[in-house]
Amino acid sequence: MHLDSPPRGFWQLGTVGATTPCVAIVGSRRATFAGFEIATSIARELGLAGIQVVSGMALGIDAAAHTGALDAGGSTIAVLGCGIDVCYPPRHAGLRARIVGSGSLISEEPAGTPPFRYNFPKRNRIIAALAQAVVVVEATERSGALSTARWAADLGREVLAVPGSIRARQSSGTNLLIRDGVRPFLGIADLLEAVPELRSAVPQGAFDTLPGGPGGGLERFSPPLREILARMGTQPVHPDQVGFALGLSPSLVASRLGALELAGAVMSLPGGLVARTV
Amino acid sequence: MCADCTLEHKGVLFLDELCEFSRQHLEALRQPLEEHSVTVARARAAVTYPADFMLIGASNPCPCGHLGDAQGCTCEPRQLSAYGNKISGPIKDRIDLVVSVPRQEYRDIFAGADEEPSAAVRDRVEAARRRRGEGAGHGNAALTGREILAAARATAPARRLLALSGERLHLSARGFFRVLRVARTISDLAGEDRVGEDALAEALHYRIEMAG
Ligand SMILES: [Zn+2]
Repeated sequence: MHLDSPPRGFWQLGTVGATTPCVAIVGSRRATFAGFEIATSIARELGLAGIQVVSGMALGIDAAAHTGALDAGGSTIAVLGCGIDVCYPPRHAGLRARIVGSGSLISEEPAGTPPFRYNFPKRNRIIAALAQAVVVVEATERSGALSTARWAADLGREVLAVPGSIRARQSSGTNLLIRDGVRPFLGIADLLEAVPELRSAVPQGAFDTLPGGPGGGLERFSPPLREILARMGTQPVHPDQVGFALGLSPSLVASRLGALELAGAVMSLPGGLVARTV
Repeated sequence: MCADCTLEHKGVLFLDELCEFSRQHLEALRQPLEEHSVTVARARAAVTYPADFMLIGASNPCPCGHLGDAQGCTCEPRQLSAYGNKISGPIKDRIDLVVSVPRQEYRDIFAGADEEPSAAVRDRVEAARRRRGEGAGHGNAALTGREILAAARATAPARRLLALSGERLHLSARGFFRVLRVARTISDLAGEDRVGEDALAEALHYRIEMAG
């Protein structure tokens, strides 16, 4: 660690300690579906390549980052803003247990410390210090993820930001980072270019075998199901929009979506929208 | 609520703003939804009334009402999860069809001329009921697990899909038979003898939306 004010000590709970190199993925608690999905897939790719993912176990992007790494069989570190024995947010009890099983929790706060607001900026500096690079997926101008990015820049770590529409509130912070000179993240190649150690740390070709973006690997679905996927694009849509565009009855759309949901290619979101996950 | 259930015996119980009811009130629906009766306990006696009704509920997608629409939701994540948890797992497990209805645009209100008229829908429903020889009875909802397995006559691909869904969606035994009853009804309406893959996938989609 290279902090001017290093923590006096750490509490650590888990099975796998911090390894080098590792990458932090951070962002807003209130993520959009696209942001959540992007964070999950970056973490999944890193997890598959054996690179540890660091984040803060908060709702939204943080949770997506840990989950993606774990789903790929990788290891992940959660840096907490509360005591090591406190589960915050309480909803992440299950995620917390998975992290302890294949990575670890780290905190500099004494056991039993509640999640005080002022602990989180301090926590962000540890995330920045542990990682060789920080990827900010979605952040508003006031998001704590920007403080992680500032810490990382001060420490000479690579910072990358996922660009978004100039009208999307959830991307206002990441777009500002890019305007101010932070490298845009358009794909895993940008990360490898920014941090060459990542490429040398993983087995040759680990990133080459990864499935491509939307459009790739759909041959396993029948033509009627592919037609639905092609119509859905990258943003969540209402089933009625899909049916209207393809001239299919609501019942036929429901039946095809049911098959795709079962295959794990589509997920249902709160509010009745559906989104592609392949 | 109990009184409503028994008043609606053989009818429809419609609850608007379902998620605004207290959890305690909603839990009171568990017995009638499963046993088709309600037991009212007083100091000296308990009386059981018949309560066999169809429950229909309407709800906003979230407290602000804009989740999933163009305007965008302004709810906090905490509010969203509290809202979603208002309806307990056991009650969700007893709801067969969840359909999300997008916000209606003004121009759509005047544009719905090519919809199927209610009379035509009624004919289809009556034809489906006649086909299964039920008259005005309970329909597929009243079939026991064993009966629905036999009545479904599920095709081999449909059976494979059902097995997969049990595994992937962690369906309870109750959920499993409920999906099969809905699929049987979809096939009846389409005039099909056997429950095929499409009817089953459709029934699953209506159930999955609840989980999401
Ligand atoms: Zn809302």
